Amino acid sequence: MSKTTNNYQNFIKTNTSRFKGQWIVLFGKKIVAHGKQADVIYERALKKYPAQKISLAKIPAESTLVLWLSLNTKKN
Amino acid sequence: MVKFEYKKELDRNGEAVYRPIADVWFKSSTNNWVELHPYIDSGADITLVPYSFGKLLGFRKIFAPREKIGGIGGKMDVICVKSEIKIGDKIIKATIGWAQSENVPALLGRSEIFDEFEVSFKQREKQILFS
Repeated sequence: MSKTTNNYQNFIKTNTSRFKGQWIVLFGKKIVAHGKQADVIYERALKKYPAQKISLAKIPAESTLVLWLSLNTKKN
Repeated sequence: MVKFEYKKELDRNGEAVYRPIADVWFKSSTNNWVELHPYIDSGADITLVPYSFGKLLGFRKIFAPREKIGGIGGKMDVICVKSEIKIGDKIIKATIGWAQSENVPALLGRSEIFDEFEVSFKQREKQILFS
C-alpha cells in the first residue's frame, strides 16, 4: 500500500475552519502560509521550505460543495 | 493501493460533516510536482482546479478553448488541460478543468482517474480505497 504524506495526514486532522475561503500551505503540522491566491502563497512558502515538503489545500467558503460537474463540450 | 480518509469539517450550523480528501501531485510546466489535497468527487466528470492553482502549474490560456461546465450553482468557464498527476505511485495523464474563477473547490473527478483505479468509498470507516 502506498503511504500518504505527513502533510496529508496532518491536513486530515487539522481544524482548518478559520481559513474558510482561503488557500493554505502545509509544512508538516504547521500552516505556514494562507491567502486568496494559491500561486502567491506557494511561491512565498517556497522561499523558506523545499517544494517536496509543502502542500496546498483550498478550504471551502460554503458548507455546500459542488456535488456534480458536467462537461459541456459546446464551445463559447 | 492507496488509502485516503475523510476530513471532519463543520457545516453552516456548526455540525460535523465528513468529506473525502485525496493526496494528489500535479506536474507543473517546469516539471516540478505540487502536492494538493482535493475533495474526491465521484459526481464530477473531470478534475477541477481553481484559477490560481492552474497559474501555479504554469497553465496558459492558449492551451485550449474555453468550455462550460455545469454544476450546482450554475455554469462556469473552464479550460481543459491534459496534464500529469500522481496518485500513490501511479502517474496518469488526466483531463484537468482549469476553472477561470477562484470560487470553486479543488476536486478530483472521474475522468481517467476512475478508469485507472477501482475506487471504494467506505464512509462508515471514513476511508476511500484506490486500488
